[in-house]
Amino acid sequence: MLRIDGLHKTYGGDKAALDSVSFSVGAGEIFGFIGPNGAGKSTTMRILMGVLEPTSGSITWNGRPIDRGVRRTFGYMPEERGLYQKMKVREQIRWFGRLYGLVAAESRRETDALIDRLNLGAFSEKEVQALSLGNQQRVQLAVALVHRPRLLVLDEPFSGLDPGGVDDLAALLRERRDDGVSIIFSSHQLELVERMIDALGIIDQGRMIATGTVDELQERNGRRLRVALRDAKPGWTGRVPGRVFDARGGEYLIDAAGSTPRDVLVALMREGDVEQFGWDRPQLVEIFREMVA
Amino acid sequence: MNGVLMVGWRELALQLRSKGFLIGALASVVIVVAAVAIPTIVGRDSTYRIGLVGRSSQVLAAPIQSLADGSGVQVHLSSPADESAARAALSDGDLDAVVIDDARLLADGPADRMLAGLIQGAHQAVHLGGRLAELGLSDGQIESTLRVAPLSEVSVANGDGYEGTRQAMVMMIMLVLLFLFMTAPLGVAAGVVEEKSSRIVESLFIALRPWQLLTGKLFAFGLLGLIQLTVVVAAGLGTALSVGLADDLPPGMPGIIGITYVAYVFGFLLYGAMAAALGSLVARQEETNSALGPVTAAVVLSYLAAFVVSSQPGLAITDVLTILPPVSTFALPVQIASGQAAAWQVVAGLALLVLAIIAVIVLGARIFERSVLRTGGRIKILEAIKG
Repeated sequence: MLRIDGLHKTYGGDKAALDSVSFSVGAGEIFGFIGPNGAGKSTTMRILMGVLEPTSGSITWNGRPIDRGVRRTFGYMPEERGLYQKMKVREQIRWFGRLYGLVAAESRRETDALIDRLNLGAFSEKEVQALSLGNQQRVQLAVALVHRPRLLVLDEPFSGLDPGGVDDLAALLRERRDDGVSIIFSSHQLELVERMIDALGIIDQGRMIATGTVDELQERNGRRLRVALRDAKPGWTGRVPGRVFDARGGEYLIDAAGSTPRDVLVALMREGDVEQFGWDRPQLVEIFREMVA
Repeated sequence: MNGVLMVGWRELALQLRSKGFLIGALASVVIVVAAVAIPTIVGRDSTYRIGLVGRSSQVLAAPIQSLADGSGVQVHLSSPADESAARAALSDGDLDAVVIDDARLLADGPADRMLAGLIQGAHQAVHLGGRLAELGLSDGQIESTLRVAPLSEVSVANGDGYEGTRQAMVMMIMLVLLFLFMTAPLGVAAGVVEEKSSRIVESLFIALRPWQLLTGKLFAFGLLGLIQLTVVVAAGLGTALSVGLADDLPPGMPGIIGITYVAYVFGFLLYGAMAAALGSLVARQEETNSALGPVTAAVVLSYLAAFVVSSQPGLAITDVLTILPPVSTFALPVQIASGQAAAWQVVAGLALLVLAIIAVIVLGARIFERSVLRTGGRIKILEAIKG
């Protein structure tokens, strides 16, 4: 298990880039890391991978501090993709495999499997610079995966991929997750995050403002009722308890803090035919907008 | 595999199969072969064309040929119909000299001294033989009378007589070192900038320490330079031997070649470590050349200073410059190759160079470690040292 505890980072006395960031990722768990640009996602990942030094805080893997030997069992896809442009695809993936500690035969086998799995066969003997950005990204992913890491740290792995690439990557990550690999990835594609993750963290201005499963966050932010009325009397929104928002499509959200659902239902029945009544489960994108606004 | 070797192997494999390296190696071979072979081949164009006019001149043919063979000179003898035909051939450049009736030597302007010596020698030998026969000497007596031991040749000049060759070799060593010191550190810096600007370092440092990356790069580009140097040395020596210059090479050639290798290795470590550190300060490929300004200046100024050293031997400043890094990277091999270096200079020069290399590598590694992972614009060198 990865545990990040009270991570703090400042640059020369300015405002903290990270302020007490804490979260954990279990074995076989996909952790989505979301937040606006500049919130601190990449900084956290770069500290985790030893690219930056934290000002304070601790990171442990299975209860032990992380040194270079441990870090070599991690896979990393940096925010800015970095590959040797004049090296051939297969040669490059193999080379990184050897660098990350595989023996030649293992590296060859893993490389061949990844080239196949990521549909890179047609380009495997070409120099990286001859590939489209999307295909370069697949190579970058292969480099991060080649040594079968136990923890995957992927900074915006889906950006720049076409829909087919997104599906390939998502499927591959689920496979690795099922093999017990812990995965952290950041993304702005919140619907995708919601579909893929087991837990997530929302970071804003260097502070972790929420962590948990999607269900937990929905529960925490979802104390609103979603209703639909037919033949409603004019001005009904002013006569039911709580604040009423138009959710479009004939549906309304009611924030009924201070009233019971029963009070709201009774009031609604006086105003028209109640076609829909129940707790609203907000989409991740709505939770995110609300929390980060 | 060890991280240093992984880095070095990758660079070597990529560079060795790049067109740039192959073209560079090929060009240096062509230049060296041309520099060694052309002057020799041009200078050896010593086939003299001699015309012998009149029956009495024909007796000169055999002694001229014999003297020419003895001197290692080629002659081509012909018999123009008459003097006017011979004069025309001289004017047209078809003949170099003509003997008319064993009495007159004609040439287009003053006769070549070597050629004139040959013909005059043959003429004197023939007539001296004739007179001795008239005095009643037998053929055997005439032959033994005419056989006079040549003067032994002794040079009273300072040095061993190889000054010209040594001078040419010094020029070549300086040019080769200049080329290697300009290109090999540039390769190191370009590699560092590529890895920094593209953030490949972030993927590398999962498994590598900065010093391993730095050492691997120096190892790879240092070895590439050694390969280039070996190609040049082999091409130069091979050409010299194949055009018959073996006897012209001064004694102590292995030492001269050896010190050139030593100078290259030491110089490369010095300039290469500087280049790696300076390369780690910049953020973009296009800034590489300007960042390498101090290395280029050090190489060029040392090269020019070594020129002064080699042309002004015996001055106090020359003694100092010979052992002073970074000038010594050029001056030391130059002084050794030209036979001017004292033993104490070799020892002191190498010791100072080692100290300078250690200082530059320690400082360079510090700058490299602190700069290579930093993003943003170009980093000031003092900022990198302070951390």
